[in-house]
Amino acid sequence: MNLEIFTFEFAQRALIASVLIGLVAPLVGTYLVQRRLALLGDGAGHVALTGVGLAILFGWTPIPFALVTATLGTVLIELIRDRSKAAGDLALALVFYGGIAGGVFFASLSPGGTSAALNSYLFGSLTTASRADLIYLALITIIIFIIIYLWGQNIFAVGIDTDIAKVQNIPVKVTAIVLAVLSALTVVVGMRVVGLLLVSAIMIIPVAAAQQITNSFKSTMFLASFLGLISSLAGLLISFFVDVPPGPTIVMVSLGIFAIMAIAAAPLKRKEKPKAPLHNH
Amino acid sequence: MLRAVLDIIPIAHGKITIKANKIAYVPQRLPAVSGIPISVYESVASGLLDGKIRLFSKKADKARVLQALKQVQIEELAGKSLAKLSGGQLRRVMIAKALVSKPDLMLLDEPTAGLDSNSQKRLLRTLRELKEAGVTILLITHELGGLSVLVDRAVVLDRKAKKNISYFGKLPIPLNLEPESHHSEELKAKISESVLGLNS
Repeated sequence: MNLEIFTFEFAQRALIASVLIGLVAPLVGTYLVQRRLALLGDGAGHVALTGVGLAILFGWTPIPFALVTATLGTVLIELIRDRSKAAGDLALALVFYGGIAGGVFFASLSPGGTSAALNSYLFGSLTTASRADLIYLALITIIIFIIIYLWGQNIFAVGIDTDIAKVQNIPVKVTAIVLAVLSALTVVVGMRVVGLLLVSAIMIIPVAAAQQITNSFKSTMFLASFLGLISSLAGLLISFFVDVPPGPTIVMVSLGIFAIMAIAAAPLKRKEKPKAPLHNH
Repeated sequence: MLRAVLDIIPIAHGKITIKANKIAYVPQRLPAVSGIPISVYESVASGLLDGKIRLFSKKADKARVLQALKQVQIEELAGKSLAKLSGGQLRRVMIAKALVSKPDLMLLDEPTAGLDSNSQKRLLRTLRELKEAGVTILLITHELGGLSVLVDRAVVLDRKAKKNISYFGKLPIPLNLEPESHHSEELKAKISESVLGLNS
């Protein structure tokens, strides 16, 4: 394998961007899976597309726009979900449709009049990350790490039992919004390399793979992050040498890792069958 | 009812005042064990949180978690995933999570539900120690069993009775409890002051 390609700056930038998303996405994904909100990242990705469409229309840098629309979208979903779970489900669906439609609509209104410019944001691209993009992505990643460090335990506690968390004086609504914002930030970090349509996959699949063999939340987070990094780097390398977008390649690699982990863990799971929890009245 | 006492769900009318610094709640439902694995240690340690930002974990935290696990006699399970525990063990994890915060008021919803007789004895021992340490315990149960020796005051709820309360007082509960026989104004005052207000 010839790695000379990494002497080029664009390849180095893609590599750094893929390391960032590979590490950080599964960390946030672990909280999303615990709270059964695996689709929230997808919602964030879709609504971020509207931000990208607007940025293309006005000729601005897409990352800040995607960040604003994704954050607003996910917070809105969370506020609606807080009132009614059914309404939250519907809100998620509306954001899915509205996000894609808005992105294509605004991009088509741009001077070139085509939505083709969106493709690199939908499925990721090796060549689009600029130096300024990379600075944005690194800053957003640092913010994600800081939020997880400061508020992660509270998100975890709310995920275990909302009622107990309320008795402990943990602000449950604020915590839900923090998680929504984390999803939006992560989606924006991943939009350059993995793409907005598939970024949620790199948040969720490594977590699904890790939890096959782990016994604790923390070990799941760390292993998922490691698997995310491996998937991201391997997917990026493959996409350099086979002419395919990096997003789908990274997701295919992570699915392969999930399959291997699930098969390897099956005998262990059979061996350690839990005693059935007693019935609650 | 405990969820109403804790202001998790709204009450139809009246006011509930709780005079306690640290409250711990053990719900009836067992924690969900599907999804992301959670270790016994992590579950109990989450009971230390109080909504404030914790920049660093303290050394004392670990000791408190291990102490709480010891109190319910499951210290050897600290590293195990909740998914691998029995119903009785899960119940003890929940009680350890409540204990770790060192509460002065503890609310337990059907704490003996699904526990075998050995686990019930262990629970009795733990609650007795807490009571002796000055912790106020408010528990709801359909079957008092061995816990009756700990009870200072009992309230029997009965849908058919006036104010839905058919008895208030010390144990043992009279065998031939007449649903309508204990509803004086005095009782009403006692209930609102001592039970719902938790003033004593």
